[in-house]
Amino acid sequence: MVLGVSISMSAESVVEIRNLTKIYRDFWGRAKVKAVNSLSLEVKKGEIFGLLGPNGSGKTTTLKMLLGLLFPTEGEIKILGKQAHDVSKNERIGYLPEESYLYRFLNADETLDFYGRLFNMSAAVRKERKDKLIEMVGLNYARRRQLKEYSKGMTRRIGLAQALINDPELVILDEPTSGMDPLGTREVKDLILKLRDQGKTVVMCSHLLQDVQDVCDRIAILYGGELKVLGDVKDLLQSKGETQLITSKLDPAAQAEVEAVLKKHGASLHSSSSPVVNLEELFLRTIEESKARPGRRYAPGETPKV
Amino acid sequence: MPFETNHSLLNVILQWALILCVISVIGTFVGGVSSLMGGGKRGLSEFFGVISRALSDLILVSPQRIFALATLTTRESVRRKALWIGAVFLVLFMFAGWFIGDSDDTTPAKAYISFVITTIRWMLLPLAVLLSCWGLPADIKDRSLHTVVTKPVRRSEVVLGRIAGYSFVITAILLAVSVVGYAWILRVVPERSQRQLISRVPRFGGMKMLDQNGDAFAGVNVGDMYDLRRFIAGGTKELAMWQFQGLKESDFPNDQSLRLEYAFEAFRSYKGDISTQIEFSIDLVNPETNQRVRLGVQPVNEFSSEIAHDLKENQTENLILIPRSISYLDGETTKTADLFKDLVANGNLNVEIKCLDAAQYLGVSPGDLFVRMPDRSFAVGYWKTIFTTWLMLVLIITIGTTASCILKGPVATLTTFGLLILGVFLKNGLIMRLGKYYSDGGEVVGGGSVEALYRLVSGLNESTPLDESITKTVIETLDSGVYAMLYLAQYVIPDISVFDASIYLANGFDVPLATCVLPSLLITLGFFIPAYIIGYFGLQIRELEAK
Repeated sequence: MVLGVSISMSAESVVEIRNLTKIYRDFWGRAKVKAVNSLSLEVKKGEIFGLLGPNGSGKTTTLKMLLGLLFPTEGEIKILGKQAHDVSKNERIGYLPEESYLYRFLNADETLDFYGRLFNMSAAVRKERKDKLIEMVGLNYARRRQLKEYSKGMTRRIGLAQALINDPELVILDEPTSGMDPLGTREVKDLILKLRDQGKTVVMCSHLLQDVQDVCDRIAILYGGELKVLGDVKDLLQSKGETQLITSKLDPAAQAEVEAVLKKHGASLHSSSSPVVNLEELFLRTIEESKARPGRRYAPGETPKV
Repeated sequence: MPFETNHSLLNVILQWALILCVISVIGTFVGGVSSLMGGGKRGLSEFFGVISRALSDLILVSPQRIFALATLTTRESVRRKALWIGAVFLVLFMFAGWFIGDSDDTTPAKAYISFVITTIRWMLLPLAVLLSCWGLPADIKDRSLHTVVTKPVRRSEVVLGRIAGYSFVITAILLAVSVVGYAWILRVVPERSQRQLISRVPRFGGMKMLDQNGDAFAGVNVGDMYDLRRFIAGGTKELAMWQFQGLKESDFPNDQSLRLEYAFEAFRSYKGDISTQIEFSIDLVNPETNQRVRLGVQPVNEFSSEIAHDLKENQTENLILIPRSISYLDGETTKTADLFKDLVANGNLNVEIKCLDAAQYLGVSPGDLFVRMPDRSFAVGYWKTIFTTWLMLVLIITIGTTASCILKGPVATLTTFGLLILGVFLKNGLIMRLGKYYSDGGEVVGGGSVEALYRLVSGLNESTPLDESITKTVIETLDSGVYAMLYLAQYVIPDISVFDASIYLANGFDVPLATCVLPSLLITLGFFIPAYIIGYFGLQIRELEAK
């Protein structure tokens, strides 16, 4: 946030950060913690960008500086072509905080109506948006209940709805799946992907690595306030020196033949096993099957179909 | 109980604007220099960026967003059970009648009116302070404000929304309890005293005193320690003359009489016949033609009360009714004069008072005689009193909200209460006197606070002058700094006593526009604007997420 110094943003850039540093100081102005140290990165239009890192790595501090909730000690931020302190940028941004900091005495309807008013939306638009969003986050059954009666997962859902009330171009999500059950987590991840398909840009930070891997196009890994890794998820995770083939189940003879072919081409088989699905997939399938076949119970010795 | 002021509205506004400009210039200068020292050229550039953004943020506010924030604040206050204060009022009104009101009291309405207004003021005042000082800090602590400011909401809108929301809550409660209070007064004031529920409208005139030679003089000092009234000697040519202006025939439609109300005091230099009251004469004099009409002789109420006797049992005491057509004796001849044609010249009328008892004295002060214009209903005075109370509460809310933009809840509460206490109790006391003394170039006996401390320590009494030395110079320099601060404090601390209109209402007067309603309005507005700016900067330069 430096006046008089302009950052040139490429046409595709939605967020551009240059040499961003944040030092927390004590009452006497002495440096206490360097939360972010010379961070530079860029988020392109239409991508899902993940900020990863352990607790205290500077992810949330970075997001809050983007939103103007914290002031950078040094460095520059440009977001949607505007300075971080420019309030008008918020017209095009949706933000889901780490905890859903909402007014607990309002119900879901009132909450969305309130945030809609802050965007100067007309009553008709507000009604349309809140109906759609409440439906989308699956809270229709609880829309008249005060938020103080909501579970954590429900609070996250309504928090997500308020972040989308203005149909934003840039969605900033801080730990979007925190506190959600696997079903909700999957729905949120699907929603994030859907937002990208609609041409929106998503910046999310999380320490749930699987979530990030599932949805993000690019990631940055922070540690101790410094950028350690930046790049496409696929590129970063791909093992360049190996090739993976997935086939239908092979009998031992066929497998021996495959190994022979590989040997002929100068390659070797590093491992061979049946593919393993992750726990989330198993859980979701179980739930789906339970819905399809109510009354079915676990039988000893039964192996679930995966 | 002032009714008239010599302050001109324009001068007051200009003085306010001047103070605001000076403070703004000093603030900008200090801010600019600090930024330059702290961040060099870049710091200065940032500083001016903040100033330019502030200008647009303070002006370009969205009414819809302010309304949304105000509505939210209202809901929050209701959730905090602010409306319960109404129930407390109901309980008080239910049982207050047991403790107030004495069947022998000649002015029972005064007690009931004072009770209602005082209760309303002192019960809503803490509520206003607590609501306004705790709302925003709680919002910041719960971080719900963080979600709000990530929307296109200017910090100025947060400040205005909060002030509007709290004001709405307080207004609703004030209206409810005021209606109940009004009905209660009408119900509990005994029927025989119902005529005390009135709003008298006095028109005062300038007063001067003339000695036996017709020259202006300061009056006789009979040793009255309060020095409110000066005295004229009875049986002499000494007189007190009131010069009334702006009397128009149209103000007294349907041939209404012109009413003069008085509250003089007698001073007996000898006991005399104690059962006979001391008397005075009243002459109406045309200031241009000098035509003179003697109205007759009136007795002085030697044990004056604060309320006109016509509002008590006897309707004529202390009140002189002057008909349009006045019959008077000119020597042996009875003549007739028309009040407005013969005596009032261009709205001006002189009234001369002489004490008739030789060697006795009549005490007068400028406010002791006034023309009583057509009365207004009690409701007019009552709702004006409620209006000034409302202005006071809005002022408190403004100060409390501003403090809460910068300070945490307990500190903001303490600050606001501190300002109120200073405003209520000290503005017209120590601070005002010392500040005025300093501004008038006067000296305080025994010196200022530093000199007083020095005298205490060194055992010097207050009349012994200090030795000419460097110590004296240092002490006087420090004291002049203290005086200057006290002088400035007069302008920084709101004068809460101005908002108290109950003294007019309880004494049966209409609440004057010039000395009560307008000053209340101007003080509220005068503090609202700088408080709004300070509140905005308090939120704007504050890192809401700072650890």
